[in-house]
Amino acid sequence: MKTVDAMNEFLSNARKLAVSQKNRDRLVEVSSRAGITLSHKLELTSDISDQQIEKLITELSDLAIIKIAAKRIFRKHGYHF
Amino acid sequence: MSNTTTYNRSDAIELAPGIFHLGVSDENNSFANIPYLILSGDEAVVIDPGSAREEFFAVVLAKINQVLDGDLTRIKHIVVQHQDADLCAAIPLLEKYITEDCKVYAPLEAQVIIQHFGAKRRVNPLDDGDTLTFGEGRVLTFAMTPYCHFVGAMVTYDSQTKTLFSSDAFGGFSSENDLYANDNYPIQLATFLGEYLGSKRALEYALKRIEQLDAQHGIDLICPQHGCVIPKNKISEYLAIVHELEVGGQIDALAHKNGIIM
Repeated sequence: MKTVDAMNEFLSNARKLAVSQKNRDRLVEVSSRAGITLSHKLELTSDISDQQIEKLITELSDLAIIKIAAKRIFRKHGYHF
Repeated sequence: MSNTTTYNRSDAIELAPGIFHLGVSDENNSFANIPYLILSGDEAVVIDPGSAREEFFAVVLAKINQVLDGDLTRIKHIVVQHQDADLCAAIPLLEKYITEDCKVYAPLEAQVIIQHFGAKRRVNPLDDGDTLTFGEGRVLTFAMTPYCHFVGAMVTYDSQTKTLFSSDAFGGFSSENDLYANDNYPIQLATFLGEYLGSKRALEYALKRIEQLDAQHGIDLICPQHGCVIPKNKISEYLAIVHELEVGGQIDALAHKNGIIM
C-alpha cells in the first residue's frame, strides 16, 4: 500500500535523523496532530491516508530537518511535496 | 586519525597533525556546525569560522583559544568556502580577537556576498588552483566547485596531511556528536546534500575534481562543515554514495503543483 510504504520509509529515515528520544518524542507528538499514531520507537501503529500524509507535512514545520527528509522521501513515492 | 569517536562542547580534536575539529553539535536542529583550524608553526588558518549565533560562536572561540593557548593573534588567514551564514557570519565576531594583518579569502563570486556580513577587512577573492602557503611552508590548494551549491563554492586541500575540507559536500544532518561517519550517515548525508543541491552536473564536476585530487595527490580525510568526518577507509564508499545522489527534486514537485511543464 503506497501510503504505508512511504510512511515506513520516512520513519526509517527519521529514526536515523532524530536519534535522541527527545526528538523522537517531538515527532510522535507532531504526527498525532495529523492523526497518525507512532510508537516511541517511531513505528507506525495505525493505517494512514493520503490526507494524513499531507497534514503531516504541514505539521512538520516545527521540525525543519525532519520535514526536509519527509518531502524528499514522499516525493519518491509519487507525492508532490 | 584521532582515536576519539565523539566530540563535545569543550575540546578541540586533532584529526591529523595540525588539523583541528572545532565542531558544535546541534541536537535540537540536527545541523552541526564544524569550523576547522590548521596550525603550522606560529600561524593558524581557520576554515569556515561558522555561525554568529552566540551559543555556536562561544564554543568555537573556546576551542580556538584551547588550540592556540589563548593567542588568537596567531590566526593569520581565514578561508571561507562559500557565502552561507553558517560558514562565515562569525567573521565580524572573530575580528575582535585577530590582528589587522589577518587576511580573509573566499571564492570570487562569494566575496561579493560575504562582505555584507559586516567584516571590517577586505575579503580577498580566490580563483581555481590558487594556493596559500603559511607557517612553516604548509600549502593549501583551492579547487572551485561551482554551483555546488553556490556559484562561488570551493573545497580546500591540505597537502601535508592529504586532508580535503569539503564544506557542504559530504555534509549531513546529524543530531548526534559522532566524529566519524557511521551506519546512520548515508541517510543523513542524502537528506542534506540531496535537498541542498539542485544540479547533478554541478555535483558530478565537484566529485570528479575531488577524485582527480585523490588520484594525483591522495586524500586521507574528508572534513565537511556539517555532519561527520569521512576517514580514508570510507572515502571510496562515500564517493559512490554521492555519485548516486538524486538532487533538485523540489523542481519537479513544484512544477507539478503549479502545472508547469518542464
